[in-house]
Amino acid sequence: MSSIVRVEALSKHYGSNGVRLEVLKGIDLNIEEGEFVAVMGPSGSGKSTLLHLIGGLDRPSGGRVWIKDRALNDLDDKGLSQLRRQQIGFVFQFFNLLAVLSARENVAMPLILDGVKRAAALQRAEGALEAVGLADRKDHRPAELSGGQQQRVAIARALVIKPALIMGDEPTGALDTRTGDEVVNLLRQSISQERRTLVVVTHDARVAAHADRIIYLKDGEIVDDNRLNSGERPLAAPVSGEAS
Amino acid sequence: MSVKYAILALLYQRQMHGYELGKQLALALKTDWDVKPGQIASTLARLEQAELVEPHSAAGDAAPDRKIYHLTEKGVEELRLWYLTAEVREYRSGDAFYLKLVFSLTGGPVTPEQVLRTQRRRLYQELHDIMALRRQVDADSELPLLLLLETVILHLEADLRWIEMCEGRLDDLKRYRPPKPQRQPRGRPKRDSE
Ligand SMILES: Nc1ncnc2c1ncn2[C@@H]1O[C@H](COP(=O)(O)OP(=O)(O)OP(=O)(O)O)[C@@H](O)[C@H]1O
Ligand SMILES: [Mg+2]
Repeated sequence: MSSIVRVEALSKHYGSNGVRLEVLKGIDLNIEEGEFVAVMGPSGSGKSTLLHLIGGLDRPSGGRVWIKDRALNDLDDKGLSQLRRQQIGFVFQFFNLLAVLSARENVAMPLILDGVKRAAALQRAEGALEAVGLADRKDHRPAELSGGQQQRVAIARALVIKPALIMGDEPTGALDTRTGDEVVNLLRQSISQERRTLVVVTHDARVAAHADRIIYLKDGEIVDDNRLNSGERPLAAPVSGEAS
Repeated sequence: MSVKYAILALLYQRQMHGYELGKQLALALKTDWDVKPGQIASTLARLEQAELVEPHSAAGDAAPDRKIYHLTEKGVEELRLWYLTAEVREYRSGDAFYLKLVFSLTGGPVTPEQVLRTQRRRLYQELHDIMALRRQVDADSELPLLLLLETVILHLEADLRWIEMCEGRLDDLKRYRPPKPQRQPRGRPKRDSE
């Protein structure tokens, strides 16, 4: 397996009037292609910061990040946003859809920004909406959709560029359990079919339990890297069989 | 789970012989609760002795798994009582994990962090397995099983939240020192000493 994300001695601090806040303290991390990684940890431990640095949404204070052997440090802002547009799909807690655009236009947006002709972009957007089960809602605006539907639009928008890496920051945080399950399953399916990589920040054990690997952050450091076994198991429930 | 009441519950629905009972049990519950045919036969024999079930009059002295049984009135009453008795989960203060946590706080060959991490890894592996299982269960035709898995999931989530709570308060926890036992004076306890 080859790694899609490589992080070396990554650090981030914020400083104002002499007070230095060390948010990430030298993170080393490898994420393999096809992996589903959950990032957990208490509030303020640096999860979102790590996600943003890996996704090229923010620049580190120290250390390096590679996506598929491209060093993000060496890219200028233009190169960075191009890499994001072509390789990385983002899904956020509050969907981040544009309110004035229809579902289809929202999904087409990353393609249009990447130079795809409008008509072709809209057509591909329709396909992506169909894949998330929202073909019949393509002309609805975000306000006319439920939270779960909005998140599915956001997933379609992330997938439409056929990214190698999908990153979610609390993608189920604003949804109820059942809708959250649907969203996670959608994300899981999208990676197992296309051999994509999925990195999801979550507070929800139920979401993290779907992952192949759970990374814990505490005070800006990785305190546990838990790889889960996914052996084939027979269809049997773990009830203990205490005899009468 | 109780083989006795599972048999009573099924016999309430229709009369069956022991062999059929075993099959029906597996089909209805769809879990890995492994009830051996011999266990059903011996339970039926005990139930018959207690007059909770009765074999078909023509059965003679065939083996229990060949006799057709139905519930007696006493059996129905017993079953009703079982249905209407609430189940209570045990929260034991002698819980093995609780012991590990408490003793690791005051000194051991491993740290409380390691103890908590070990337990959390185990719980996540269980939750991971259940989620994989849940994805294979059909929400329409296997709804009772799906809901059984949900209760397992919810309990694991509760256990994990508790681990998180302990981790969040670990610095305080580490300051915990159990009181030392009072030295008992030898001899007969005196009244109003000191
Ligand atoms: N622009 C910024 N300026 C100063 N401090 C910041 C900035 N962005 C984040 N921080 C600080 O960095 C720390 C980590 O923030 P981060 O958002 O990564 O946490 P998190 O683990 O995602 O938490 P949560 O679970 O609450 O989302 C916090 O203490 C936060 O206040
Ligand atoms: Mg965050």
